[in-house]
This record gives sequence, C-alpha cells and structure tokens, in this order.
Amino acid sequence: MKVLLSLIFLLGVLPSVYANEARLNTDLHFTNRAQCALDSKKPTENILVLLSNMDVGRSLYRLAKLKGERDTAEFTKLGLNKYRYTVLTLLDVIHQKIITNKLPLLNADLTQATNLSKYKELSQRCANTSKCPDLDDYLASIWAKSNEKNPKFGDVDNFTQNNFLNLEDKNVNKKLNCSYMKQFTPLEAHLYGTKPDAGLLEQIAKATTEIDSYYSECHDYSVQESLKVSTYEMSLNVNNSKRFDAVGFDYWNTLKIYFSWAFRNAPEAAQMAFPFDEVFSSVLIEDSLFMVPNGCKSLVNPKCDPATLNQNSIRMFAKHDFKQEAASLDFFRAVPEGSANKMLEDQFTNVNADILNFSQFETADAWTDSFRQNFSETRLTMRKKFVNSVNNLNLMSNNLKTNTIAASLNNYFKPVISMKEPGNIQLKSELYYLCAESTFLSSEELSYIRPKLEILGKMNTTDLMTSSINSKNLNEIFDYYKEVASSVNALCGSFDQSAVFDPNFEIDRTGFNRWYVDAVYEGKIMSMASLLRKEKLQTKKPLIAYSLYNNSKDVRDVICVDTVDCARTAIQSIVDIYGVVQYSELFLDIKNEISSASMLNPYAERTACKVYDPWFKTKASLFGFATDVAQGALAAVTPGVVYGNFDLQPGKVVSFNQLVKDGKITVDAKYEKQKVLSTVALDMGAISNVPCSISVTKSKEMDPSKMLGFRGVTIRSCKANEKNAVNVEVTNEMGEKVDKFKSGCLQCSLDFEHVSSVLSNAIPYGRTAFFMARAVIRLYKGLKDPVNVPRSWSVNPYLVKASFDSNGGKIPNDCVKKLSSGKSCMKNSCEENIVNAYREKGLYIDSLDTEQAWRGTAKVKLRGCKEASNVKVFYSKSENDGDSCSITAKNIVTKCANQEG
Amino acid sequence: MKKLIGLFFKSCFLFVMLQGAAFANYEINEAWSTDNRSQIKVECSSYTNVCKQLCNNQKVCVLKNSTCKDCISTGVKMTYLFSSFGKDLNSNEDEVSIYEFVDFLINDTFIAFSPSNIYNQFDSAQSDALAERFKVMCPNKFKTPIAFFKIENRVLDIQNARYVTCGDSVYRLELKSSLLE
Repeated sequence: MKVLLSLIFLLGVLPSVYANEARLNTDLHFTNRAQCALDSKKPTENILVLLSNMDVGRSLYRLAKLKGERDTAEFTKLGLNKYRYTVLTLLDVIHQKIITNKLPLLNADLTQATNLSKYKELSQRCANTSKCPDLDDYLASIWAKSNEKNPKFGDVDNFTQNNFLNLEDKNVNKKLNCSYMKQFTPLEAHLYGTKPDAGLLEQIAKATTEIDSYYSECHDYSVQESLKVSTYEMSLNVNNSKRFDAVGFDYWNTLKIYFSWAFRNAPEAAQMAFPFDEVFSSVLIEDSLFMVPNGCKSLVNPKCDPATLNQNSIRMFAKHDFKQEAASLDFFRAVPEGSANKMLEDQFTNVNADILNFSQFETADAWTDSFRQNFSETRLTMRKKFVNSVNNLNLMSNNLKTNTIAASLNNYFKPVISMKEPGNIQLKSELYYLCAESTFLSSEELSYIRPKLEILGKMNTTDLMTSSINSKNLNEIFDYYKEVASSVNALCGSFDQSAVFDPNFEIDRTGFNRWYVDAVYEGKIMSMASLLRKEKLQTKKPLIAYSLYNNSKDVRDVICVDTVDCARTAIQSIVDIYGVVQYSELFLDIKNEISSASMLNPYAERTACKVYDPWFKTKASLFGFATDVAQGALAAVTPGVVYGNFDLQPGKVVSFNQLVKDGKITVDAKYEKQKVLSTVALDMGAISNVPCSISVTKSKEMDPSKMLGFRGVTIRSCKANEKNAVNVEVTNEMGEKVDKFKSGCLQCSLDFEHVSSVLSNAIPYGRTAFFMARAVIRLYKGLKDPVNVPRSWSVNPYLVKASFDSNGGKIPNDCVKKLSSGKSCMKNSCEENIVNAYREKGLYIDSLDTEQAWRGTAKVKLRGCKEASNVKVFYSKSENDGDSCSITAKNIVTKCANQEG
Repeated sequence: MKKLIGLFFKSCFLFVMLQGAAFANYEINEAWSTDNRSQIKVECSSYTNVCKQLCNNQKVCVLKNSTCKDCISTGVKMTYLFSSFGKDLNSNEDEVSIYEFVDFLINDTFIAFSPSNIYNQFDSAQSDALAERFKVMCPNKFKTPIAFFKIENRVLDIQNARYVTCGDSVYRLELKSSLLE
C-alpha cells in the first residue's frame, strides 16, 4: 500500500508549469513533394511517439484480479501510468547519455566502414534474431561504463572520439523536449499542406494562443485519459547542426537499441518501473512502441529493400477508412503482390496532405488507438495464420506420408477417372478443384507465385520463427508440400482430362478455396469451400484432427477430413505462409526492433528506390527552358546564348552555376563569354529567391507601344530594326518596370514570387517572342510547380502568434514571406527588437505594449505570468526608420511582475 | 492378534492416505507478492513432507516463478504456445513422482502458465475457452492445471515443457499432438 501511495504521489506531482514552451518555439518545417522526398535522406529532429498500452494493460488487469485488488480499474490505471513513466523517462535518460557524450553512437549502417569491429560482428551474427546474449552483454558493459564520471570504452570496442555525438554547439539545449498531444491542430500544419498563407498563419497563431489546450507536459498523466494508447511528440534542439545531419541516423539507432536493451535489463529501468518492474520486463516492448518521424525527415536512412518497403506500408493502418478498404488492401489478398508493387502502381502519391487522416479524429489518442487497433488486430491475424499453417503442414508431414497420398488419391478418384461413374458430379468436382488448385501453384505458365514459393523455401529469416514453434523449419515444410504437390500433379496428369471433364461438365466455382477464387476470379465469387468441408464432416470421421474434436465438433479442431482435403489444406497452408512471409517485417516478430517507419513520407521509399527523383522536374524545367531559348534565338536574327550539353543524370543535383563553371553552357562565339555569363544568375542550390536574369544583346532602343503588361512580367519587343528580337522584362507589379534590365533586347528576368499563371494564356506576338515567352513561362511554371521542384518554408509558432497579436489579431499579407522564413514580423521595429531579445534568452512574451516606448518603458507580460512588468527600453527616432526602440540584455525582466527576485 | 493389530494399523494408514488423497496432500497455486513478484505457492497438508523437502517448512513454500523474455505479447511464440495447450502440448498419462517434481522446482529456473495468468493475451478475462483446453491436459480432469516450463537463465527464454500439475498429481508435459485415433 505504501508503495502504491508513494507511486500515486510521484505520478501526481510531475506536471510542469512551463509545459509546452519547447513546443511553442519548435519550427514547423513546411515542404512540397520534391523537398519532402529530399528530406527523407536527412535525420529527423522531431518524432511522434505512439505507445500502445494494450498488452501490458491486459496483464495488469489480470494481475489485479489475481491479487484480489479491491479496485481493479484503479490498479490497472496506476500500473499503466507507471508504464508510460518508465518508457518516457528511459528514453530521456538514454538521450541525456548520448547528448552528453556518455554513451557512444552505434552505427546504423553497417554496410559502411566502421571502427566498431566487435559491434559489427555481433550485429551481423545477431541479425534476424530476437535473442542475442552476446550483444546484450556488449550493451550491458557499455551501459555500466556510461554511469562512470569519465567513462572509457576502449576495452569494449575500438571507440574513438568520432563515435560520440559531439554536437558543435556546446550551449545547445540538451533536453529531449516531450509533449503529450491532445489533438492534431494547425500546430501540425506542416503535415496538412505545403506553402503557408496568411489564413494558415492566422490559424497557427490562434492554436498557439490555446497551446495548453492541445498539448501538455509528458508526465502529466492526469490528462492522459485513454487507457489504451498515448500519443507524444518529442524533439531535439540541435540548431541545424551539421554534425547531427551527419550522425543523426546513428543517434536514433543508438537510442532505439539501448532502449530495447535497457527496458528489459537496466537497473535504472527497474527502479523507474518498481513495483511493476518484473511485469514490464516481460513485455515485448517493440510490439507496443512506435516512433514516427514528425514530417518528411527520417529516423532510419531509407533503403530500397523489402524490409523498408514492408515497414513503411504500416501507414495503411492509420487510414480512417481502413476497415472499409481492408478487403482491397494487399495484406489481405490471399496471394499478396508485395509492397513494391503498390509503390510502383502509385508513384506520385500524396504527401503533406493529411495522408494519415489525423483530421478525421477528435483527439490524437483516438487516431493512435484506431491505428493500433487496425494494426495489432491484423498482425495477430497474420501471426495466427502463420502458426496454424506451419502447424497444419507439420502435423500432416508427421501423420500422412507422401507415398501413401498418391495411392489414396488414385483409389478415391478411381470411379471418375476410370469412367465407371461418369455421372458422379460431386467426385468429379472434387477432382477438378484439387487439380486446378494444385496446377495453379505448380505450373510455370500459370503461376506467378511459383518462383516466389521457391525463394521462400530457401529463406532462412523465418527459420527462427518455425523453430520457435517447435516444428520443422520452413525448408522441410516446403519440401513436404512439394512432395504432396507432385503426387497430386502425377494424378492429374494420369488421365484424359477432356474425357473426364467432358464439355457437359460444368464446375461450380464456389467450391474452390478462397485463395484460388481471389487469385483467379479476383474475389468476384464467394468461396463455399469451408461449407462443403463441414458437410463432409457430417458423414466422415476426420483423417487428422485433435482429440478435442470428439467433444467439441469444432471444425477448427480438424486439420483435414480426408486425403483430398489434406492435399488441398497443404496447398492452402503454403499459400498462407507465403502471404504472411511477403510482409514478414511488418507482422512477424523476427527481430526485436522498435518500429520507426517513415509513416508521413511515402516518398522515403520512392526516393530510395529511384521511383521518384526530386530533382527531375528542376532539371527537366531547365532543359525545356534551354531548348526554347535556343530555338527562340535561332529563329531570330540575333543569336543568343545557347544552352546545351546538359549532363542531366538521374539522382545528380546540378547547380546552374556549376553548369556554367563546368562549361556545359555553350555561348555563341560572337559574344564575350564573361559578359554574358556574368548575367546568368541562377543557382539551383538556392532557387527560391534567385531570379533568372539573362542579358544578351546591347540594344538600348525599345518600342514602348509594344509593351505587354502582365502581373509580374513585362515582355517587350525591340524597335522595328530589331523586330526579331524580344525583350522580356520583369516587374514586381503591373507596369512597374525594373530599370536595371532596360539595356537588353533579349532579356529575361523573373521574380518567382510575383509571376502569375495568367502568362500562359497571354502569349505575345511573333514566332521568336512565342518561343521566348514559352521558355519563360515554362521555366517559371516548372520552378513554381509546388510539387515537383524542391521548396520549403519554416514557421515558428511563437513568432506567428506574436505577429498576430502585434497586428491587431490578423496576419498582414506582407508578413507572410517573413513569417514563412522563420522570422518575426511585428507592427514596428520596437516590438520586433523586444520579442527577439526575449526569445534569444528563451523567454516568451504573452502580451506587449510599446505605447510608452517614447518615454523609455514598455510593458511586457511573460508567458505564465499574471501581470505585465515595465521594462526599460531605449527610444530612438530616425528619418528613415521612424520611431524605434531597443532593449539591452540587462534590462530584460525574467520574472513575473508580482514575484520576488 | 498381532495380525489383527497389524491390519488395524494398516487400515488406519490407508484411511489417512485416502483422506489425504481426497483433501489433497498439497496444493500448488500461483501467487503474487505485494511488490508484484510472481510466485508459486505450495501448501502442504500435515500428511506430506513435500514442503519440508522443498523449503524446510512443514506447511507452505513460496518459490520464485521466473519472468520470461517477451512473454507479455502476441508474438509468434506466445501465439503458438497459447494455441497449443491441450492440442499440441499434452501430458504424458503416467503420473510422475512428487519428488521428481520437487527436484525440478528446487534445481531449475521455471515459469508456470495457467489460463488466468498475466501472460494470457489471447482471450478475455471472462472467457473459459483456454481453461477448457487446459483441463484436457489433466488425465484426472482437474479443473485448474498449471503448466511448468524450464527457463533458460541467460536470456530468460522458454525452453522445454516439463510438468503439468493437476491438483496433487503431477504429469510430464510434452510436445505431443493429441490426435483422434
């Protein structure tokens, strides 16, 4: 009782007053499809942690019953909160050890060279197994040393300084920020859309105002009402660290590996979990904990392999209409195609468009629970299917020798094969079903799964599974199946099928097993095979059945009714095993590894498998532009810059400047190369703010009457004597010329933010002009394509809220650009200076009044304070900037107005 | 007379033995400590020295019931284990001596499974489907059998099925499918 009371106290006092501040200041990284694809190759700093409590909850409930607890619900809840506490605290402890260089990093990619020879050897030896005592010992010895003041790891492995996180910024906030998510709100807007606009920013501002309603501190269990799941958001403050970009995947790998080990073995975990430590140490934690990158970046560097593809297909279970759509999903097909097929069918799938259907659920936990339920129920179904099928084949191989099958089948079908009973439709049908199902699997021409089955026989990853259920390994089972199939095929080839199945014989297709109906008739026919089996059992004693059947008469206690049924069951079982093995990384607990699929970025695997190339559109746009400009130039008398010889290799990033440097851009010899190239200012490395600016000829004479004005772009032709030349100028607004480009006659310049799509409908005159305009339009449209050219925006929720408050409860249009680049946008520079000065100190302002700034004071109400404080500011007035003020570090008030000190 | 006296004492001994059998000489149950440690509790009647042998106490012994790796899960191994009780896991019909079982309890690390224990993730707490299959493992039709498995000490992995206790009878537990003859 004492233990429980102290536990209640401990879990009750944890919530912090300053909850959500980290969340407030965490930038939202908006990306379009192409940028999202590129980001998949970078390590994430922000994750969602989905924790299922179901397995441990069931055990705690049973424990309460066994112990005769008076309030089983309360006991279970208390245990669950302890479970949450242990998981969250242990993650934080491991993070602290890594970020303070007390725990070395373990390489995520062991295909690369590593100095950790022992770790590599152990990892390879222990791949595809959940039990590896030597690796456990290796981790235990490092863990023990990590508790020492100055740990040295040299005697464990060849660790060097490079094996530690060693972030450049020593002042980096070392906390692993953690928030419990109550709802999905505009503060997760980066998952809902791409380019932020004023409307979205206003929504973010409003959500930020109410942030405490949407998030709470992770250890505040009083608000975590769901007993089934909990949803958390965790983030690291690594301040765009290059070091983290380089070793971030190792960081996550280390965190996951140590978590799996420590949850079961570390004394610290036992202390955290007490008095439930024994119970928790038996939990297969990897079945219950999911780490999901909160955005486009990844936890694991995506590879193009079946494991990655299968693991990432977990996102299907998050859909709100999963149950309605389940029948059409590949997992549930009798003969699944595999996840690679799905990816190739849907190359340009949606991203950053609420692809996991968060908005369909009232609370974050409701979403997590729906995902958990869909996934864990399917996983259990698959595991049961696998266990049953292996067991069926195992029992058959022990009790029905293959040499007796052929004789028994011949005997059974003799009446129809020998044409003694040509009217025995039932027997004929049975023969037809057997031969069709067996032939489907065995004939090279008919079967597309046969080669896959052969591979399955050679697989060793599932041997562990089959030996863990104390049966023969998969190869032996497959060999048994092959012998059964060859007996059946020998029978089916031994008679004249056209005579037995004469033209008047019509097969009732509902008698085929479900897998066959699914594979051959695409599931359009209902399979009644199980019903026919039950009917058979009315008159027959089953050939192989558990003795339980005597009393239960339950068809589930029957392995097979007779030899024909046994042969068909063997075929069915191998098909079922195949189906589960297709998705083994998703459903079978072969390897104890915490799931960290790129659930929010389907382009992770598409990019890894080169199904989608994020740079393709950029390169294609450039290529189109070059071609059109060249055509335009050729059509005109005046030749221009001719672009060509682009080296557009897939997967290779080409900078425009680099093309120039590399001599890939050919310039007409007539023009001075340096002069021409100096006007080429397009660097694809920083595409968002760099306009295209090409100046070729030196004519200064323009024809004002030929001006065609469009929003953002002005296209003008030259004077009559140079009528074949075209001048394309850019203006910021209609009719507002940009003088600096006046000197060229063949000139193109774009301001991407202002060019409008009306251009495409307003083609200027003349063939040359047409080509040039098309080039401009294409380039603009191509680059502007929100999807296929990498674009990104960064929004800081706190600065958006500050701007919203400062500008009278709205976000002005001219603030959108600044706020979308992660900058502040206050109504005046005085407020701007104060907000940024406080933010630099990690302080957040709830309200700000600079009315009296001219008197040298401003009123600042800090977040969490009841009243505003007066702070000293320096007022200044200048002709250019108007009124302004600034604040020095020593004048920043860090405490609430009514607080001491 | 001597014979008669001898017969009388023999009868008394048999009576005591039979009484013992009727009311059970010992009872084996799963128990939990206040700090949630799993235990196996053996309670002995005054007619047996099983407890004395086991823990040097005449009435009751409390033994540590081991934990096991990944046993609170619906992993493949546990799915198989819980589907196999009474089907592919069955008792050998020959009863084993209590001393053999005591020897196992003293010298091996073990884990005990019953339909109501915390490792059953496969049917609801109210369901008796698993209990029915457990009963099949007891030739004496005892209602609440407990299945004992040896645990490998280093990784806490379940290894061999060893015994099933059916009241105060103990049978060897084997991986043996009980099929219709």
